[in-house]
Amino acid sequence: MRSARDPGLLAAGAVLLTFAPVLPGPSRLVVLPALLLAPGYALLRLLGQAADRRSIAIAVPASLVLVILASLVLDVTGVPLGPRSLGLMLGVATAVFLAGSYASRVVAALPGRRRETSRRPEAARPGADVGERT
Amino acid sequence: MIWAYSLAPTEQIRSYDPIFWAGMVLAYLAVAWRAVSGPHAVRWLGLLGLFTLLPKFWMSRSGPIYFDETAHFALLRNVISGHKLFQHTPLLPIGTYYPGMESAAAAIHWLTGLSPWDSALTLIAVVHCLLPVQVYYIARALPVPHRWAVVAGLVYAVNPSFIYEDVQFAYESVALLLMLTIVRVYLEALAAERSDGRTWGQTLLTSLLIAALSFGSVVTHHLTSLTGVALLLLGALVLKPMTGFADRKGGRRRLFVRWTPVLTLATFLVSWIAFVAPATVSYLSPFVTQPAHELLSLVGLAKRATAGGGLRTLFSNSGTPGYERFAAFAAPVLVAVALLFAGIRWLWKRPPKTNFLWPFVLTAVYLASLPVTLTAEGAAGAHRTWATTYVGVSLLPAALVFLFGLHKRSPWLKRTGAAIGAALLVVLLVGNVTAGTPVDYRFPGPYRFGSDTLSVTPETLRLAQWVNTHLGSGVHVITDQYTAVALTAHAGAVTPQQGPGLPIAEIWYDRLPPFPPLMMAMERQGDDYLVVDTRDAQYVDPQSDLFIANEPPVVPPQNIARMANWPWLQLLYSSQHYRVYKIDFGLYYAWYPSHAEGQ
Repeated sequence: MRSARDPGLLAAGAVLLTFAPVLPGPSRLVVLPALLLAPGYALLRLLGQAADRRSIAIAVPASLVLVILASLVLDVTGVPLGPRSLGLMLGVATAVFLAGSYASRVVAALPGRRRETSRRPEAARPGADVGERT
Repeated sequence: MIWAYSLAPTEQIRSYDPIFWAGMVLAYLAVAWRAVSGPHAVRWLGLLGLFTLLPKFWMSRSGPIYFDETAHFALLRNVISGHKLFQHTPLLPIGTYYPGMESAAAAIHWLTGLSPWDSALTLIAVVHCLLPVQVYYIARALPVPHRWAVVAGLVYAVNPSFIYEDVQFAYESVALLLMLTIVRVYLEALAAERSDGRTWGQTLLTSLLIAALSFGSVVTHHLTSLTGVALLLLGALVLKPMTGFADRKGGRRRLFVRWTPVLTLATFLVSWIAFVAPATVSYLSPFVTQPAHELLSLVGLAKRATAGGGLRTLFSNSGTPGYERFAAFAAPVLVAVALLFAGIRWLWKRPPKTNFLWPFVLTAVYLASLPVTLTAEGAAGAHRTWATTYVGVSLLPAALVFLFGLHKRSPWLKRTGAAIGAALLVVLLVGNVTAGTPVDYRFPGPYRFGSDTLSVTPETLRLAQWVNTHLGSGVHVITDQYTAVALTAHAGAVTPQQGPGLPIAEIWYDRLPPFPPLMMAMERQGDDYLVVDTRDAQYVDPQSDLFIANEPPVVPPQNIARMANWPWLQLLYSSQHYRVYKIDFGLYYAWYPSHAEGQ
């Protein structure tokens, strides 16, 4: 599960989502973990939330919500729902969230902002017990 | 468990039920032992969620069989074939306005190439295995120590809806996870306020995440979102840190963290109902007003609406073994006793660092909802709140342990407590499943009239195949509720249900031929076919409605026989029990004036 939150693999997830319709036959199953994890983890990174193993139970629901939102946006704008439109929209959204998270980190690392950003969100999470391995 | 399900179609429940429970109890206790005493507790909780998919999976491996599941699967098929959301099925008209789950399942189908049913099962499997995990994190955020948070996850996994209801392909199954996720993020944000570890920026971003999840929940299910608002509101009123009433003196940021999620979810829900789904109000209101009226009539404060009242008899004709019934009655008593002890101790002790008032109120709401299940109209609504209110029950073990200081006692007492706890978990598991799910929803079996799961026979499947082949998918068929479920699931038929403008029950129950307004309404909708199950006039099941609540007890046999003599009905298909008629509306209008009195 560590790999699922790796930025490189999240980017690969975005690519998989975008090109899902052109994947042949059963190989399209590899898109499933990308669909369930990549958009959600990318959103968590963008929102500065902890994107660790414990966050999988937030990342999956967040991915589902993004799928619902993407479907609604396409439906309301009159674009027929299908593998191409939905895959492209989710892939682009994941890529944009990833790019946004990098941009926000770059901005946060600028001189004068380091002090504020040193309070990482992980520090605010209700702490895990010593020895807890989830 | 597989053994039990292989015996169920032909054997009596008393022969396979103990086998089923042996498998379930073994799995629960093994997972409980590993999760509580070893590493990777969250993985074990997830595995338990996955394991508990199996009973329902064995009921509907190849397609939907439950009423709700059939309705939602019809919506999914329509979304996939129409490439648009907000599709309609007569089985569940309100489902049109809550397309969240169908859009997620359709996305899985489109992007992975899985079949629609496999996509639906995959979605539910993923969602279901995260439910006890999410309860674990909710407990951790309160904060409850790791081991007792694991126990909370385990207790949640024995709630009455967990094994058969929340694993159905139905909108509350998905919305429940979204709602619990909102609650978790909310509690974690409040927990961060306790440690004062967040900036305004982080607080705003967390609120954005909650807003996104809230919108997803609202678009997916009305009632779950409503219970989510109640959960958050209760949390906002009682959860620590609290300075002054409603935390007025807690500072602006804490006030923002406390109240913004409640207002966000409530605003989304009200806006969605007002602008997109106004029918929700009329759909939900009978679930509140009718049970309330029935309960008031029970205590003599209101008049009975019907002669027989709307009271249900518990376990009538269910055939469940005695130990199941005992556990079903014992389970809420155990919860009530635990709440009583914990509540009294809490009032006496008032420990400053615990947040147990929130689960206590939720548990009280769960217990208060139990009498509502005795009313015919309130049973369904009450059942649907249990998946939410059981979050409170799941935290009672932690409350008891810490309020009474049991974790500081001798190892012998701890071991004894663990053994008693395991036994109580088993009682809750057996009792809650028995109380929450009728037998025909749990096991396959021989044909049973008035059951959406057991009324599908090989003859029904042959009928569905004939309808699909000769009339085509999407054909409009007027029929009773149980044939409608089978034809929707297996033939892709559109099966209009009894409603204010469509009193189709008249065709079966009324002494007179159907009136022109009904026939005109059917003609307008393109309801060209009538399917009749002759057993509608042979069997009586007082627990089931063929068309509508409070309908006459039995269909007169002559009303079924007369259809063969009506010239405007053309017989297309006939089997031992089923007849398929084509309706000639022109001929009906010419025929009706001379036969309006029933000659």
